Amino acid sequence: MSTPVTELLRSHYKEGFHDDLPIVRAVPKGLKHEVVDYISDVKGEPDWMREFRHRSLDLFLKQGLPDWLPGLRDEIDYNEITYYVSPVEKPQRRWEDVPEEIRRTYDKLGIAKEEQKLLGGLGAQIDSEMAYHNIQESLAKRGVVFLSCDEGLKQYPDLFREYFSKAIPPEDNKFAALNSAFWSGGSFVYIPKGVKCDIPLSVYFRINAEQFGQFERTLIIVDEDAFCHYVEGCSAPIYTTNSLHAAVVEIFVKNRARCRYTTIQNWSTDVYNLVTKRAMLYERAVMEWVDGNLGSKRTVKYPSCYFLGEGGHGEVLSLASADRGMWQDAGAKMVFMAPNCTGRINSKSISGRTGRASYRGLVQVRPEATNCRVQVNCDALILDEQSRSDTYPVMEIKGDLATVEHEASVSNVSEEQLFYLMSRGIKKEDAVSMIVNGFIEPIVKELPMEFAVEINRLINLQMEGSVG
Amino acid sequence: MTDTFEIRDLHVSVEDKPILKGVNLVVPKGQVHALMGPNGSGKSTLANTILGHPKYTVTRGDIRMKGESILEWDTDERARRGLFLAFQYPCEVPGVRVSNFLRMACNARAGRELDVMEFYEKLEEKMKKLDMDERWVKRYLNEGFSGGEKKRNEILQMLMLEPEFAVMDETDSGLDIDALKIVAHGVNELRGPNIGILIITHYERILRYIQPDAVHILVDGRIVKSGDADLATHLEQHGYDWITKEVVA
Amino acid sequence: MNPVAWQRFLQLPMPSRHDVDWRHLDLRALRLERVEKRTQPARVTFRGQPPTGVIFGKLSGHRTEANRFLGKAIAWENRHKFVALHEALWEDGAVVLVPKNCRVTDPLEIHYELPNHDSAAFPRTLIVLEPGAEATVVQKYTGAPSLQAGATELFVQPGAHLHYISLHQLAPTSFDFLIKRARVAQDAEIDWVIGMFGAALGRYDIECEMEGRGGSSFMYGVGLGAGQEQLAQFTHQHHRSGDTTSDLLFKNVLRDRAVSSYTGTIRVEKNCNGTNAYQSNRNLVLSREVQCDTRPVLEIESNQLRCTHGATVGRLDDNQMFYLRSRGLNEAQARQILIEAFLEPVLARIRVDTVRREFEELIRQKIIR
Repeated sequence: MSTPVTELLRSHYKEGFHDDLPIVRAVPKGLKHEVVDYISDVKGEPDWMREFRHRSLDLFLKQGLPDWLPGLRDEIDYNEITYYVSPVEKPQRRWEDVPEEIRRTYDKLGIAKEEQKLLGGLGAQIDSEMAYHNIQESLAKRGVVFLSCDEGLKQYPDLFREYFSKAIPPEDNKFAALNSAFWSGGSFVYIPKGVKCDIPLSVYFRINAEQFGQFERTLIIVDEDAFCHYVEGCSAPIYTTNSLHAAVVEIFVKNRARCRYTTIQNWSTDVYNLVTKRAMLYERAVMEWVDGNLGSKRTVKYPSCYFLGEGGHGEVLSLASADRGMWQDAGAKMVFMAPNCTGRINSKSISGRTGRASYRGLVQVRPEATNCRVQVNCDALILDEQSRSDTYPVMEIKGDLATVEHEASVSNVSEEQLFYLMSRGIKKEDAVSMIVNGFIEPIVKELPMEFAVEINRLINLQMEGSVG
Repeated sequence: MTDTFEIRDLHVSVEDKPILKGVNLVVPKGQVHALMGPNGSGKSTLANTILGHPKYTVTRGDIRMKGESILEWDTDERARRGLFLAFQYPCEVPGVRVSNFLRMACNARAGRELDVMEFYEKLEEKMKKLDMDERWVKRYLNEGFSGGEKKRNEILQMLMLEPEFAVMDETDSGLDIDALKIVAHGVNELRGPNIGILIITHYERILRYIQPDAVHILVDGRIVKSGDADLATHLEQHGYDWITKEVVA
Repeated sequence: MNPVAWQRFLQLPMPSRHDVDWRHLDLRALRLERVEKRTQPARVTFRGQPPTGVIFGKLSGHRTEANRFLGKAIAWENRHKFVALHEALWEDGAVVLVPKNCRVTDPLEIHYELPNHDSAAFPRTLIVLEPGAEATVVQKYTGAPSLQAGATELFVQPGAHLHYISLHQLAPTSFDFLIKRARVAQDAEIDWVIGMFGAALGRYDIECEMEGRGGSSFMYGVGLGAGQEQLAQFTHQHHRSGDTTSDLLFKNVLRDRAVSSYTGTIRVEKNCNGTNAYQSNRNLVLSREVQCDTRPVLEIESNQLRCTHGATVGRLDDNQMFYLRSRGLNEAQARQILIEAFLEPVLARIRVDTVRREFEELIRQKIIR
């Protein structure tokens, strides 16, 4: 049953449609060890993975939520969720081989067109499985591996096992445990030593099923002196029930390597988006998270950098836009465990039409991390009286050799700015949108062109009618 | 008179405090008028009211452009119809590039999408006149601009938008002599039969470079004296004291 | 004794490191078993010559006048364990009540000399400035008790101006818990300077509630930690009315194995347009053994406002040290100058010269030495 609110949301959210896709495989809803076995059977996994999944499910059932995290306690009925649904048999390497109905879905989302663009590789996941996963010949020849995570386990069992769950063990948090029990899909990326993979590897995640949990798992290893840019986008239909997206992304950036990970999160307001993302940085490694959150009912996500080796540099550029029905609880985490590392966190949030945007961050400097420097900037824009903005940073510093700076501000679209722009003949709505787009510009300019255009489009949609 | 900018018995309040108490002023097209007055006399209030700043309430009187009252028009409509204000303190709009902003404003003024090449050619030409290099337009609007740069940026906008009536609110304040000459050069460039200009200033200095056709003196919310360019010179020599005394007397 | 509060105190678990607010703080040296038996009143002395009509003295002597206000600024029920303890056991303290439009020019000083080892004290202070009143009140806490759990309630009524200075300097074996909360009415102003100069563990909850348009609260604090001292500061700037201003600057200097933890919240309720709220926590760390945490929090539900916060943790600037030494100063002198310069913005807020000198002297003894 649709309500006026969902109607309104749907009119703004062009990805809110759903398709009736034939289901190839599915499990009954609910949290069950049998589901774990089913997934493991279907995927033909080694025993260690099956055991890992069972152990993770036990951990999930035992674990509470951290006390610093508000809400979520009684909101999600885990027994109403379906933990594995697949409308596809297996990932295809040729777009023509993807089942027609699914291609139609991706056509509507504009993903098919992405294929033609200059991408190093493209993956497309629908519900629990990858429908398509392919890489450019030239990159494959240089030894770049870009597979669905399940394929990664099959084709590179040793490499996979060496890194899998080493950055984010299931003990880390409740949602990481949940993912570890039911993970399916996601990407496995390996960039060999010295290989600079300049063209982005891109993956699109689509939830189509209702009351469903998507648990993709991504493992990226950027070997010494290599470079990789990974880009992900996502969307889901608007139902009146809730779905769950609990991904785990583990990244290993080896000595002198660099990795950039860009996310444009645009889930419908049905989706709880509870994601753990962590990068381990070795000597002089560089990690850049560009994290755009524009959708979902509640996002809980703090991309992290753990500095294991000397001289690393980490950046998190976080952009959150909280419209009606959304709570963006985004931020960043940096843990310094080695000397001479630097970090920068730059967060911009917008809240409007009863939306709530919270920045939550942790900067931790351990005693051995001498001469580290980290700078945090959080700016929030509140568009109206009904909306809310919070800033919850934590800084824990041991020793006298670190420099930690945090600055934050909360503001609105000022009367003076509006008057100035309007005095040049610009209409009020355009002036507001200009100011808001200017506010997020420092982050948007870091995005690939087509994503920047998409972000501006989404922000403008969210702005419509939000300023009186 | 149709081709004039006209202020009739204008009363304006800010937060219920009356600031302007009956201002009368006519600027015909083709002329440059100067409005001078001591601090707190209401000069900036007049400038902001002309463009319809929401903080200022017109309690009586009228402002008319080419015979038509503008009071019901929103700020952006006034601008599209050819009014321009060079701000005393132009505000910063971070993240908005000067070029994008100018293009949007020019399109709004023209009422149609201008040819991109044409726009940039014109922009380049005007920037040259104001001694600006091409890096300028890539900067964010007024962000990190020095006082002088902000003022020059205002004049650039004026040259690009080609208004019919322009108000310059203390554009000369805070400018060194070289910047002042550049600004004056820009204004003289624009001067002509198709535009009326009102220069608001505290000092006579700018009027040495832009010869006004008339000078008005605003004291305590009223125009107390009008005259030709000599009035400004007289003010410069004797200050505002004599005029306030004259008014009181 | 307040039995309800006592029950609450007993029920609340001893804070541990798992508790977000008490992370990196260690309460194991605190022996609570003997607290109840060992309660001793603090010796309180009063200095200053208020004009007639001003109430200034022991709380027990003015209960009738005080009862209207007691408990109206601090609701103890939802607070931490030691606020409940204070509420359960407090018996006496001091009161300042300045009547309407009365201007007290002489600073009024309340000095609590706390009993020594193996004892506990629970002084309660009430400061009320009626509409239009003006006063400067100085509070001092000295001594070496095992435990102090104190509370100060401040009422700054419409148009009143209060300059409030509080100095805390207990022995490095003392556990010190103090909560201070001011209710700031329309067009009222409070200027705080809080000196937190020593305790085994000192926890200071400094809070203002902005209740009326035009009200302002300027909160300044200086904290010093040496040896193994632990310093916990919790500040709260709560805007319940629009057109109010709160500005906060807490500066800490930490040496040896000191631990500090700052948590500051700015909360702006709905319909509080015209709020100006600023908060800044700056920490200067002088040793590699120091643990320094800072958590500046914003919770904003209005949109026409100006609100910023900032926090830094850093050491003495190498370039500045080099510059001063190139002018012939030795290392100790250069450090002294830079530390004093770091704290100057807080000290400059003290408008009582003798108290300012006292602050300076304590800083020198404790940090510069």
